[in-house]
Amino acid sequence: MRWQNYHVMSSVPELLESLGQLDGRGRVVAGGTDLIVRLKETDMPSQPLTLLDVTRIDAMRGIKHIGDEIHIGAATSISEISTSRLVGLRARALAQGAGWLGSPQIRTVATIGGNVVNALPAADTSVPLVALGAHARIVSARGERTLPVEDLFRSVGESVIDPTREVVTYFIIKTDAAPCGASAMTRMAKRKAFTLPVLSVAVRIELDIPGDRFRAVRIVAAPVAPVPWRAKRAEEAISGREISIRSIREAAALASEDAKPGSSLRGGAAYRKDMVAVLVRRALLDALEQLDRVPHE
Amino acid sequence: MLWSNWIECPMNETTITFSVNNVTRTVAVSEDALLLEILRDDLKLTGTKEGCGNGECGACTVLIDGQPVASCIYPAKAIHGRSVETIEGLGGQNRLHPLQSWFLKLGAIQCGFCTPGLLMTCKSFLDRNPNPTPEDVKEAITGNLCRCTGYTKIVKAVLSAAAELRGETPDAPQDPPGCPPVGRSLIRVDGLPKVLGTAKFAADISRADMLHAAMVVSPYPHARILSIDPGAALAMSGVHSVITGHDIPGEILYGVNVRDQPFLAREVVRYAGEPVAIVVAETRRLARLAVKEVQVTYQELPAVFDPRVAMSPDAVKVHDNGNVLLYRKMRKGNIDKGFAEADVVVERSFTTQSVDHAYIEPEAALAYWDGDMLVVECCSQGPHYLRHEIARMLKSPISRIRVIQATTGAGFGGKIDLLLQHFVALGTYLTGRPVKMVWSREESLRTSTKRHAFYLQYTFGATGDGRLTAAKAEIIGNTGAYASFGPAVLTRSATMALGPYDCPNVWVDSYAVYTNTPIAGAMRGFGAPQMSPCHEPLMDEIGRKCGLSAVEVRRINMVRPGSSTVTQQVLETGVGALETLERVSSYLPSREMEG
Repeated sequence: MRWQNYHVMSSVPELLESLGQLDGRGRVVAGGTDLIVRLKETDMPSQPLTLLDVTRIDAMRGIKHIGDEIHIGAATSISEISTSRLVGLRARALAQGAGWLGSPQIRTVATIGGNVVNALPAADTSVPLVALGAHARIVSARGERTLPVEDLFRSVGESVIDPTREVVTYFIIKTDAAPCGASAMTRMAKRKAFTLPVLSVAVRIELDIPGDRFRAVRIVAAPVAPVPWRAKRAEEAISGREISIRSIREAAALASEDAKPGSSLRGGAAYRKDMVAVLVRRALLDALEQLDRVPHE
Repeated sequence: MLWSNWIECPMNETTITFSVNNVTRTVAVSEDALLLEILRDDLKLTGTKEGCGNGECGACTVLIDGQPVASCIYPAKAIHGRSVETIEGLGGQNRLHPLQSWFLKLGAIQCGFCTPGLLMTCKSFLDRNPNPTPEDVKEAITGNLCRCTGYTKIVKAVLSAAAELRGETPDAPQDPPGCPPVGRSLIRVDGLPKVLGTAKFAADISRADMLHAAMVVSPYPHARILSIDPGAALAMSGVHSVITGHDIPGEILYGVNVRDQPFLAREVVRYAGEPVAIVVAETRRLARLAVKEVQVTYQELPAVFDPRVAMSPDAVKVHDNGNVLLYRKMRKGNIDKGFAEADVVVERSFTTQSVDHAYIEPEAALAYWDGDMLVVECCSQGPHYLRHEIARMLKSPISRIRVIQATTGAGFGGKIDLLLQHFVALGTYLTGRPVKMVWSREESLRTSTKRHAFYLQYTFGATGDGRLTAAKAEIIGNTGAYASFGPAVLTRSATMALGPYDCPNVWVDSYAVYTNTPIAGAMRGFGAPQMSPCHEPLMDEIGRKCGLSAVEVRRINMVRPGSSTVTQQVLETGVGALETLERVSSYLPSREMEG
């Protein structure tokens, strides 16, 4: 059998109780666009799981604007995120990433929580979430905690979250603070749609008040490491610098220098490494454009 | 996990209630069922298709609460309380949805297998976006693969349907009154059932008391079969039988060009994916589970994958009589004289890759007895050939075998071979009951035929004013483990080696070579498309060396009435190459564009 039982949960307490009773044999499922495919392929697994569907738990759904934060329920569908006006305006990189994920059919059911906990380094919502400095609210029988999304990844396909014991309920994103804050994502793939990326880069920038210097910048590239990877040396180098083609070039070069991509069917290591510089430059220019800034030489 | 353990944790059944096309349905489902299985198997709504089983191709698209979803990976239990729309609810024969009527009118349907999924995706899209641009439509259908139409007509049909839904009157194809049927835009005869979802593809056909079959295939590219132990599979409740090559009553080898392929491997397997046994069981899932329990013991043999290696005398032998299946020579004029006359010589080597047809409908067939007539209903491009082979295998008079071509979800040459039709025929012959087999996408990719991968060496000679004097080509085609159409394909490659160009002195050597790779067979163009990426760049190169544009060098060398081909056939009428060139070049905006 593919799985032993499939239960639709109606609340977080009910979910925690079921996970507790099943003691490792229950597993959270949301859209299932990765998990169901895997379980279907390995029909008759040695330890059949009971799947606990969280997509109808109201507390885990929807997009809310709270102060200078956006809260997105972990069971919110990718299509809802990609078409959200709020996300598009205030966490633009995430809306872009969500729009690239899979196909319309996949985006209807796939969720942001599933995409993150599935823990593939170049997941289309993980990369922008890390760039945006998002946090995840996690609930288990032991209580609640909040972790940076950046710290949820252990290795390729391996999350810090144990889906047999705990669940991400929602994500917390500080909004891009206009007129000085913006974010952008760039992605390179072999086709225009419905394909995994050769390389993705997401950035968030914050300018100083006059708007001629970078105050703080976060740069994330993937897949160049087993987890979404922050180009920290590049981030430090550009923060505090004047907005210029030169400072952007230098940061892009540093990111490329530090990135250690591997080779796969989708792209070779050397090519990916070169493209890190190109995509970082494009993402920074795109983010600046959102703030009507054209860098001088 | 052993089967006995599986029995210990029996599958729970439960009921779900949901709305299908505005009718509330309550269905008993197993806990691990998927929505597509419920729709097709339980509710008999077979308009929704399975193309890949992985949510990748879009053929299984239905709408859940108005949104498109891949039903093949959607757990049935998650549908409880929701509303599902399928193709069966989109429109009826006398009340077609505008999408259906415009798909028909503009020819946006060919094989029809992707059509129901596409229509549902587009319905949901137009409900949300009544005024789309062509780019919006393209974005909306990214999750629906179509291998026949090239999408252009689909996009036009969606835009026209959108216009009609907005109350406008889109342009329909207009034919001048009284013009003959040739060249007119006709609505295809099988179009209506395809837009309604009522066309019956082989996987949609069922019979009472039907069994399901699945293949045990070799994991090795080259191995000796030492034993096949069906014991554990047969011990599973619901498994009817395990069939091997030793159960075949008649001839054991088949093939359209050369009879070199076992109906079911008995002694040796020659490619990974070659069928060695057939499991027949009460359900498709059970047959697939039982496949894992058939114990086949192999002795791995050294294998050869590169046809250039396979041609050497000391290479691993794929077949006892050597690896060169075909050596075809074409000689015209005097090649040495031709090169002696050449002022310009250009030379290149090329490789082309193996390609799968990737029709969206995976292979499917159903067999049953009709009196003393064994009937096979299947997807196919050549039912007469299949009938002949099945009769040979069963040692039966051909008059007792009937092959019916079901609506076929594209083929592109890949469904012209005997693929799985003999397995269901054998199953019915041995069990007496109807037997159905439907391949998964993985099985289709692994076991079906491919386009030949080629290794090519080309040398062209030409005079200083750009006229071909000599053409030499060596063509090596990887024909895989069995002949299929290999000899015919490589013969055609040789005859098409120069494409549409005329040359007085030609020397072509063409080889079809066995290797331990999937079988290469017929695919669109049949050996000719692999030649184009060779002769065309060489023509460009001659043009550049002689100071001629890409159009001019072709104008000089293209065949015309009176030209002779590689096989020295003198062309008389119906030679369209030059006219094609002139028409195409008239669209080029400038001489620079001519290259």
